[in-house]
Amino acid sequence: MRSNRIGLLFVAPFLLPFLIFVVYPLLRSVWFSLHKWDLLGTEKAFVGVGNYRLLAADPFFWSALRNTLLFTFMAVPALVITGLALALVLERPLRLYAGLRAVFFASSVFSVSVVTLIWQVVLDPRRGLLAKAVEVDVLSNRWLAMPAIVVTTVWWGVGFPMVLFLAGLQQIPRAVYEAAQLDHASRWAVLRRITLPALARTTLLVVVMEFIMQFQIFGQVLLLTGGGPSSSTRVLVMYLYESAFRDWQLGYASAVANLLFIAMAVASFFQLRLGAPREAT
Amino acid sequence: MGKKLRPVPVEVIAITLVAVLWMLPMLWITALSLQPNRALLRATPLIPTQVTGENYARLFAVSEVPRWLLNSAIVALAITLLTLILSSLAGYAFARIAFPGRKAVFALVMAGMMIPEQALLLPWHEMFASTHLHNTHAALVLPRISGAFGVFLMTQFFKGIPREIEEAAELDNAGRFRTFITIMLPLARPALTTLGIFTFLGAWNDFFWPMVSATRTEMYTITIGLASLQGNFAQSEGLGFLMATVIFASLPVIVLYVIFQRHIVRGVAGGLGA
Amino acid sequence: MADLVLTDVEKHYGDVAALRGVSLDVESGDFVAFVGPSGCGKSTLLRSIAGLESITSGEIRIGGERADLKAPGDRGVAMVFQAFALYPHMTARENLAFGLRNIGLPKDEIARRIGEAARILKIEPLLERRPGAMSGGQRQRIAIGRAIVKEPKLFLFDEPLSSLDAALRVEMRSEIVRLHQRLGSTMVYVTHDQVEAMTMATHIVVLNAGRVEQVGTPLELYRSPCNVFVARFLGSPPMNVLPAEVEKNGGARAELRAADATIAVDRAIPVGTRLFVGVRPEDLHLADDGPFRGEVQVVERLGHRSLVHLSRGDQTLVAECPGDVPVHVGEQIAVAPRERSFHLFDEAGLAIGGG
Ligand SMILES: Nc1ncnc2c1ncn2[C@@H]1O[C@H](COP(=O)(O)OP(=O)(O)OP(=O)(O)O)[C@@H](O)[C@H]1O
Ligand SMILES: [Mg+2]
Repeated sequence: MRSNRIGLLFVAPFLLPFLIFVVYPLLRSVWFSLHKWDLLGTEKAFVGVGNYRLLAADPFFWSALRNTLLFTFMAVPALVITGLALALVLERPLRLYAGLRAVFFASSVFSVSVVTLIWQVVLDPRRGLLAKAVEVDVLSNRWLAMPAIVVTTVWWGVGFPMVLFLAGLQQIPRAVYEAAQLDHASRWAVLRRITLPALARTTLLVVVMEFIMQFQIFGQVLLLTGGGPSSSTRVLVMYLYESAFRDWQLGYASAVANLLFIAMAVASFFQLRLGAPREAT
Repeated sequence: MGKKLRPVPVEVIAITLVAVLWMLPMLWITALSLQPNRALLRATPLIPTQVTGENYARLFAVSEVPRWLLNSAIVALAITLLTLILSSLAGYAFARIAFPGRKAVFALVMAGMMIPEQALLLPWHEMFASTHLHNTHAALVLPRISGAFGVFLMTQFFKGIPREIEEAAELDNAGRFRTFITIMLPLARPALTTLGIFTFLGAWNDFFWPMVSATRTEMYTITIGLASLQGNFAQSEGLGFLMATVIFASLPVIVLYVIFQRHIVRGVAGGLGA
Repeated sequence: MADLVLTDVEKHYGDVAALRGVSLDVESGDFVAFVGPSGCGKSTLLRSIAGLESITSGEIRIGGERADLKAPGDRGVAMVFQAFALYPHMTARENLAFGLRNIGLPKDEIARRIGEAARILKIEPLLERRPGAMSGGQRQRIAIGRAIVKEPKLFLFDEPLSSLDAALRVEMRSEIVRLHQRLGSTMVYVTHDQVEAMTMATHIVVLNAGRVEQVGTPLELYRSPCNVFVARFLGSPPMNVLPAEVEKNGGARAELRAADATIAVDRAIPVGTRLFVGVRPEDLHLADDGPFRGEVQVVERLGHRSLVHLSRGDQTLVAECPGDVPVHVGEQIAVAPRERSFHLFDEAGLAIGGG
């Protein structure tokens, strides 16, 4: 047996940046949030949970939270249902379908700025693609701006749930379908009684993962609407961004960030719990 | 049995139509990028009436796009390379070397995966501001090599390699480091490829942190550069030029996608542990 | 001179004792098989010799030199693993060369050794191939080749044939024996297959629960097992062992009663002594006047012979009979032992000689 201490040497090159850029900043962020920390005024006064109290009383925070939840509750089902539908249709081993799967996944590799640029042009009220069909300025419309962001997001990210569902479908044993065929089950019955129940775990996992991702929505809103019209699309991360890098209220913004962190950590915990048993097999 | 001549099922036609519709935005902006800007002021047709390469030519002549692409390439490649090195070193140790404190350290690193970047951005910003390192490549690279996902992936992978192979190497007088370099790393090629692709894509598409840190246009990455071009296109005459920029800037990821499509899809599916 | 000497080797995993004081001398040129039931510590012992496990206490000497404090690579041993553990990304030649390069052997020496090993094992055509493109038997040869090129003082095998199919296993068995004869090196071989141990080894070490039960040549162990455990472990089907009590004791003879039968043994034992009497199935034959009577429960027809299970009360006996023996389930039959084929064990299971 050889010495195991050398393991520390292997871990150190990663651990060093990890401690500097993850662990320390996390603590620092808590520290920030307990102070009134105005970057410009260089005013650093300990205020305890003052920032959190401020937050609880801040209507802009609540409105941002509401907008975030609104977006999440539209985007997550839309992504999950679209992804599931695509997976169910494209599951069959046709060469054409392999190509179509690649098409639906392709947009996932673009950056948020590419995607928003494309959709900004598509939705442009004068020269856009949509303008050829209907005459409406979607992104400046109080009721349509958020759905437009949802559509953009689904177009961008549907590949992820689709691929996860496809993987889930592949785990259903062929024999089960053959047995159902012998039992004269209709296509609809097979879908309802066999396929969908077998995908229950995958669906739950996809929902949680998408929730984590979509709750942190930022780029699409910043680049498509800037939070407008009249703050109807101003979401949490954007609120955090503005508090920090426009108003330079570091303490206050850190309080927002920490709340976000807790919410995401709880959700991630669920994700790990869901993911763990399958990994063991 | 002879082949049955079946009519194409409705389903196939329907889903193909949906796919075409799905691609329509891409096809359309490609068409736009190939048309003269003046013509686009009048109409933005799906099928170009006039085709020109001038928008692409201007990219190199007048814009900062080449510079941004270079920044992106430097930053993304550095992040990818460093992530591969650090993750495989750490993953190997976590999987195979029972060093003191291994369990605790591993738990800490795994907990790190749950932290959203927004929670870390403000302290990062302050750290780099106080060391006057904003608007450098280092500022874009360093925070990004601390991600725990790669370590998780590599740990899982190395755990799956039979212990006997390492023991054979031990009997063959190979030390830990030689075993790592000559045996484990070559075996880890599939995992390293997957991790490399995802890291590169993530770094190339990184948005929030570069936007906060790189504030001078010459330090923009292509992702930030494109973001900076938004909003003003409505007024700009250069719709075709802008679309050419988008397409040209996306070429690297498109090429990567075309080459590694299987790997990428399998990587995503494998993320489930499926 | 002994090539491998173990003195009071102990190995504990936390509070699990895998080896409890193993002492052993292996002579130079011996082919020693470690056998024993699953979990008895065979692998642990072998891996301790290799240095893949550090021992808790005791001493290991290889070729006269203290080895237990040395690194595995410095002990002068080579090991063939159960799943071969070839380096999948290297060709066979690179697999063989890896360990030699690591100790800085000159190129021509490496080439010479690989050439020789390849000739012995007839693997020349495989040298440029990777393990993935080989059959199980070919991989096995490469794995052995990797051990040979090191020219070790001691070869270690951990169940090297268990991942091969039955036919190949028989073939490789004789091949390894030939190799041992040709190289004349000391080999230690772990197996849970007693046929392998009996046919291949010059000496067998029977392990049980981390202890050595008995060491000896295969026939020694088979003929005079030192306790019930060894007696039942070697031989298939295992030896019949019945509880017995001495009824008469006259001079150099005693009569005992076992399974409602009275049998005589050439040995003086006090009346009333409780003991165990063992008899191997092949030492029992059908005989109308045999002492053991019972009802036939099962007849296992193996072709060249049949295993007849008969029961009397709660005792069961297995007798090995000719293949076409005309007995049927439910029939009452009697079997008799061959002369002097009994093994006697005291109440603790230790052998007290035959009779
Ligand atoms: N790493 C370990 N940690 C704890 N206990 C162990 C470890 N390795 C082996 N043991 C225990 O030591 C004992 C001996 O194990 P060993 O692997 O040597 O058995 P074996 O004789 O090779 O069995 P098998 O025929 O099944 O291979 C067993 O009880 C086993 O549970
Ligand atoms: Mg074993």
